[in-house]
Amino acid sequence: MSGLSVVEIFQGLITEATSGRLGADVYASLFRLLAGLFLAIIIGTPAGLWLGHHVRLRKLLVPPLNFLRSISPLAWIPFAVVWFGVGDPPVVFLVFVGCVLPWLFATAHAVQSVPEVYFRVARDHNFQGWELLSRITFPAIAPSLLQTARLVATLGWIILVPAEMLAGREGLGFAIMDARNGMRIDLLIVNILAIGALAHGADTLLQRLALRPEVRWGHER
Amino acid sequence: MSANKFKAKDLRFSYGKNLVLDGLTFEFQDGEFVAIVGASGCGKSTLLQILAGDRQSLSGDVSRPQRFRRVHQTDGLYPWLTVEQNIRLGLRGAPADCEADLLPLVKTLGIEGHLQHFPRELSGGLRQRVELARALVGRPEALLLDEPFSSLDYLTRLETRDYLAQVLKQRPITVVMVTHDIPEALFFADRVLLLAGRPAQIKRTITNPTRDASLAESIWKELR
Repeated sequence: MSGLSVVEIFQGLITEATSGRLGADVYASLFRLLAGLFLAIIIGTPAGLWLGHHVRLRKLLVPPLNFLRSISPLAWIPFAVVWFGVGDPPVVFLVFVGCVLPWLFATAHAVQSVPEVYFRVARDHNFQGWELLSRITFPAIAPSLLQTARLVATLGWIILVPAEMLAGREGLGFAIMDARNGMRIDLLIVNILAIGALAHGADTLLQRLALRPEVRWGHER
Repeated sequence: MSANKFKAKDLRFSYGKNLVLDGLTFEFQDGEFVAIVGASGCGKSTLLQILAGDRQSLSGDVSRPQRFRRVHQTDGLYPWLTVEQNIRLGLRGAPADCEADLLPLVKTLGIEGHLQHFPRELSGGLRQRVELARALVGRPEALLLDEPFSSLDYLTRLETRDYLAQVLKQRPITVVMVTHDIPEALFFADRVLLLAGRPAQIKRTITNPTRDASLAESIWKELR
């Protein structure tokens, strides 16, 4: 590592970018991350809403879910490889496994925290079913979910990189491992910087979303 | 029981084994302003929630008008909606011509300059006036007020009280207000129900056609 200059890292970045490798790895990683997060949100949101609204269900399901939540998603890597082989599916699965329970618990907690008066007003104005969910419950939990999205996206990156190292054939995590095997510290740093830049970009986007008046109320009282 | 008035017959309610309300019987007349007065924690708000249908009574009969609206103690506005969007919720299920009431009503309540604001941008008094506008814009048969001024400072409370009096003068309607503020109850109410004891019962009903503020002392003594 000693003697590695900024110029060499920059040259490594140009090499990776012009060869198309960096673009392909970024694309592969983003696809897996977004697919894993998408599945976590699609499954975790209704389950969280359900859990948030039902006290008895919470008492029944929270202990086993907490048990599962405490297991590192990386512990599932052998299963992921056996079930899905290598490539996109096992990595998407691992991101999903790591993110779904934090998202589910955050959604349930957000629902529990909605002031009862919002639901009373909704009843007074005949909001029911999907309309109640879409026009009252979702807007009421949106500020909280937006903050959770920031945390879960970061968690997704943290899981993605080692998952790609062990179960990927491309992607930024795989590229880091590949650079290490080839003793290309410049490329290793380029890929780490790419992950940081992408994660920071996503977080900035979510922070900007949090400034919209529909959700800003949840952060500024 | 007719379904167009607030009525209760031998109403009882408990939280678990703790009996809170016992044997309440009353009937509120159309256009009447009734104040339910009692000490904090005596079950006033619970009674209002039963009248609104949020809670089921343990026993007894309860009926309510089909179209009623509520004003809450605090935070009854949706913070993700503008003032106008919040008020327009009150038009849901209301006759179509109620739309025409919106602007005159917001002018009466002095909120016409705030329609595009969000609730967090308003003072506490303004927020309560927006709640009043939302509650009244659909011309409900009755209004339930759950200590609507209790979160306001003294001057804002008086100001908001005057706005309510003004708007009710223009639109007579059945109103049930729960409050622990005796002068406030006597300011508005045709009839005052004193709720006291554990479990709470109606200790006395005071007719108050002359808005007689001198009754405050005797009511206070009775509630102590």
